[in-house]
Amino acid sequence: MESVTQVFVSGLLSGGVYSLASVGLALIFGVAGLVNFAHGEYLMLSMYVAWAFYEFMGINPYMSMPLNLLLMAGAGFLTFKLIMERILESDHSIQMLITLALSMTLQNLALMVAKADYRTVRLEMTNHVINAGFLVVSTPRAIAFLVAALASAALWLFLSKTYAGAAMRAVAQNGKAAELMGISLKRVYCQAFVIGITLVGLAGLLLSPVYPVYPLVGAGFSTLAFIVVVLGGLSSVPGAAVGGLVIGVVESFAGYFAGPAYQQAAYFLLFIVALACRPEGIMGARAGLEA
Amino acid sequence: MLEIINLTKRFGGLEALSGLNATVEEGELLGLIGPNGSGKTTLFNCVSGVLPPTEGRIRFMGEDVTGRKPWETARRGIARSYQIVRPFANMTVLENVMAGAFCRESRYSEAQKAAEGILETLGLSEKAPLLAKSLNLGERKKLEIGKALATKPRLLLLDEVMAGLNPSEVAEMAEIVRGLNRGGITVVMIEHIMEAITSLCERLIALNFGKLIKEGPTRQVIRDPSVAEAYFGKGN
Amino acid sequence: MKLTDKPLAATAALRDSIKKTPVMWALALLSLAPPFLTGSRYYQDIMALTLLWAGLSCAWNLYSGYSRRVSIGHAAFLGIGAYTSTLLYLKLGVSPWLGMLAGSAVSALAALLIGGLTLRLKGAFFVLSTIAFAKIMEVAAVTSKGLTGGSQGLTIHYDPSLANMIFASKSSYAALCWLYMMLCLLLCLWLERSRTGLLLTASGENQEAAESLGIHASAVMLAAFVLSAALTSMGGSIYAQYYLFMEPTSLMGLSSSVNFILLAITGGMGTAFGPVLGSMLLTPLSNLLRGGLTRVSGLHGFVLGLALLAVLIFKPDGILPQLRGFAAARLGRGGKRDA
Repeated sequence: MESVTQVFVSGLLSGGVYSLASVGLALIFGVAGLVNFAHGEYLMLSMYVAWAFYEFMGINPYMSMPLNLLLMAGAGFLTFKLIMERILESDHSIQMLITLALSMTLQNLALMVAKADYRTVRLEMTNHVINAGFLVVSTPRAIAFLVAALASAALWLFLSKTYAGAAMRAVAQNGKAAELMGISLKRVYCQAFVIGITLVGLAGLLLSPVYPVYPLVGAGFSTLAFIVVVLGGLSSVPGAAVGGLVIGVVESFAGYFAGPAYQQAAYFLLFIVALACRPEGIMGARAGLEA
Repeated sequence: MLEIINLTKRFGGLEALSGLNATVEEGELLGLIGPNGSGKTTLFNCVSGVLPPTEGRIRFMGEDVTGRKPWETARRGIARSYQIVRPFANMTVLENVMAGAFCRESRYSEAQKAAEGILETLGLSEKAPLLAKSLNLGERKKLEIGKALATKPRLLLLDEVMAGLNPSEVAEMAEIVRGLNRGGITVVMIEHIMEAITSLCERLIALNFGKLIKEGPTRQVIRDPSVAEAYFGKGN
Repeated sequence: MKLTDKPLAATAALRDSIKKTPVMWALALLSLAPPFLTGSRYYQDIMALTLLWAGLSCAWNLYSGYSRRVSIGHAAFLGIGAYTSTLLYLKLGVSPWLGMLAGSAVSALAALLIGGLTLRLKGAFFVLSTIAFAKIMEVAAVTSKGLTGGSQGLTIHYDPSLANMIFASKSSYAALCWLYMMLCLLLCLWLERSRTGLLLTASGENQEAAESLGIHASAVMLAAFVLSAALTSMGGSIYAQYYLFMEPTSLMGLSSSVNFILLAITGGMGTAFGPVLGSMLLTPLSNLLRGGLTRVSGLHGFVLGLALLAVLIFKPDGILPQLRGFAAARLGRGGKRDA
C-alpha cells in the first residue's frame, strides 16, 4: 500500500510539469487555433538555456529563470512572426506538418550546436529528498510541481481577471465578433502564442535539475502535450491542467506495474479508447476557451 | 407519400419540434414557413436522417424510415439541399454532380452523362470543368440543387434555395423549382421570400416553436392571424 | 458541350492519362533505367530507396491524399509488413513473396479495426489517433522481445535467391521497388478516374453533404484506408528484404511516418504523380545531404527541415500542381482541372 501511494504521488509530481507544458498548448490552440507540434522543442530550448547558464556561468536554473523566460518569450515572438502568422488560416493538418518540419529543424539545430551528448545540471539539491515517513519526494521535483501549480493558477487569474485575458477568451469564443469589438486578432494570437511558449519554457527549466537535456528530449513532449490537451477538451485550460495530472499518474502506474517500456503505450492506449468513446474529448465542451 | 407522426426532437432542454403531425402528398409543391428557430430545418434534418428524432415516426412511401441514416434515405428517394450550401469546393462542378449521380448509377461514364444532363437543365454546362469554389452564390445554389437532383429523388427538400439571390436569380430559381415539380418530383421548400411562395406553392404548412400552427391552401395560411402573429408578434 | 463522348473504360482512361501527363509518365517509366546505367552501388542504393519511397508515399496518398485526412501513422503498416514477412520467413521458412501477401492481410485487418474506431474523428483528432496507433505498434514491437528481438532488431541472413526475395545486385532491388511503385501509381491513377475515388474525395471534403447524396461516406473511407494500409504493408516487406535488418524505432517511429507525407506534400498530395515526383526530389536530396554533410552532425537534417518549411509555407499544394498550373496557363486553360 505504501508503494502505491509513492507511485501515485510520483506520478502526480511529473503530471504537474506535463500540465504546465500542456496548458500553454491548449492556450495556443484555443485562442489562435494553431496546432503547434514543435511545442516540445521549446521545452528542449529552455532546458539548454538553463544548462548553459549553469555550465558556463554557474548560475542555477532557478536563479536564471527571469532571463530564461525572457529568452523563451522572444523565441515565441520570433516564431510567431516568421512562421505562425503565415499559417493562421491553414488547415490543421497542414499546420501540423509545418510545425513538425519546424521541430525537425530545431532538433537538428540543437544537434549541430550542442552535439548529441546528454547534458545534466548537477545541483546540490538534485539528489536531495524530502522524507515524510511513508513518502519520499525528491526536492527539485516537489519544487517543479509547486511552481507549475503556481504558474497555472497565475494563468487562470490572468484569463479570468484581466482585460487582456478577457480579450483572449473573447477571441477564443468568437474571433469575428471580438474583431468587431475592436480587438486586434493578430495581436491576441501573438500574445497567446508567446505566453504558451513561455509556459512550456518554464516547464523545461523546472525539469532541468532532474532530467538530462539532449536534442530529442522535447520530441516526446509534443505528442504527450497534445494527448493531454485532447483529453482535456482541446481548448480548455483547466482541462489541460487536470489532463496532465491524469497522464502523469497513468504513466507512473503503467511503469510500476508493467515496466517502463509500457509507459507511453499506456497513455496512447488511454487516448485512443477515450477518443473512440468521446470524440469531443473527455471534458466535453469544445466551443471557446474555458478558464 | 411522406407522413410525419407525432415527431419530437429535443436538444438538451430545448424542444425544436414537439409532437408534429403532417403529411406530404405525392406530386405536390409544399411550402414550409415559420419564423427563424421554428423548427423547419430541424424537420428537414429529421426526415433526411441527419438527426435522429427523439420521439415519433416518419413514413416514406408507406415504409418506416425513422432514424435511417442520410445515405439510406437518399437511396430511398429523399434528397435535400442545405441552407448554407455545401459544394465539394476542390472538385469540379461536374464531379460534384456526379457524386450525387453515383447514387443510382455505378458506371463512371453513365454517371458522367447523367450529371452533364442535369447541368444542362440548370444552365451550368459552361461551368462543368471549373472547381466548385470558383462559383458565385447563385451558381452554388443551383449546384446544390443539381447534386440533389442527380440522386433521382422522388421527394426533394429545398432549404432556402432563394435566400441571398437577386430578383432575377430568384425568378430563375422559381422556374427551375416549378419545372422539377412538373417533371414529377414532390417538393417541400422552406422559404422566406413570400412572392416566391405564393407563386409556387398551392399548399403551406406554418410552424412556430416546433408546432404546426396552420396548414392549408396558400392564401388562407398567409392571411391567417396566427401566422402573422408568429412572424410579427402580438398587438399589431 | 459534352466533355467526353466515349465511355472511360480502363484502357481508355490509361490512354487519356498518358495523353494528359506525358512528362510524368515518361519520368515514372524511365526511372527504371538509371540503376542499370550506373555501376556505383552508392547511387543504386539511393535510386532503389527513391523508388521504394515513391511507392510508399503513393500508397499513403491513396487514402490521405484523396480524402485530405492526413495519417501520421502509416509507418505502423510499414512495420506490420516488415515484421510479418520476416517472422514468417525466419521462423517458418515461408517465402517473403507469400509473407508480403500475409503481411498485407494483417495490415488490412489492423486498418479495419483502427479505422473503424478513428476514421469518424475529424481534423486534429484523427491525426493524433494515427500517431497514437503507430506509437502503440512501435512499443509492442519493442516489448515483444521474444518475437521481434526488441530494440536490438531482427537480422535476415544473407541468402540471395529469387524465392527469398534477396538479391546480390542493388539494381535487382531497384527493379523490384520500381514494380512496387508502378503498382501503387496505377492504383492511384485508377482511383482518380473511378467511382470510388470520386466518392472518396467527396466524403473527405464534406462528410455530411456526401452522405445526403446517398454516399456511405464512412464505408468508402474505410475501404480506401484498408487498401492504403495493405499496399503500404507490401512496401514494408520489400523494405525488410532490402535492408535485411529491422528495428522498431527507425521503422515505425514518427519520422518514418512523417516521411510518407513530406514526399507526397512536396510533390502534391491528392495527385497520382505527386508522391513520385516528391520522392524523386527529396529522397536523393536527403541521402546526398546525409552523405555529403557528415562533418557536422545535424546539418543535413537542419537543411532539409528548412527546405521543407519553405515548401510547406510557400507552396502548400506541392510542386506538381504548380507545374500544371504553369502548363495550363501556357495552354490558355487556366482554372480548369484535368482529371
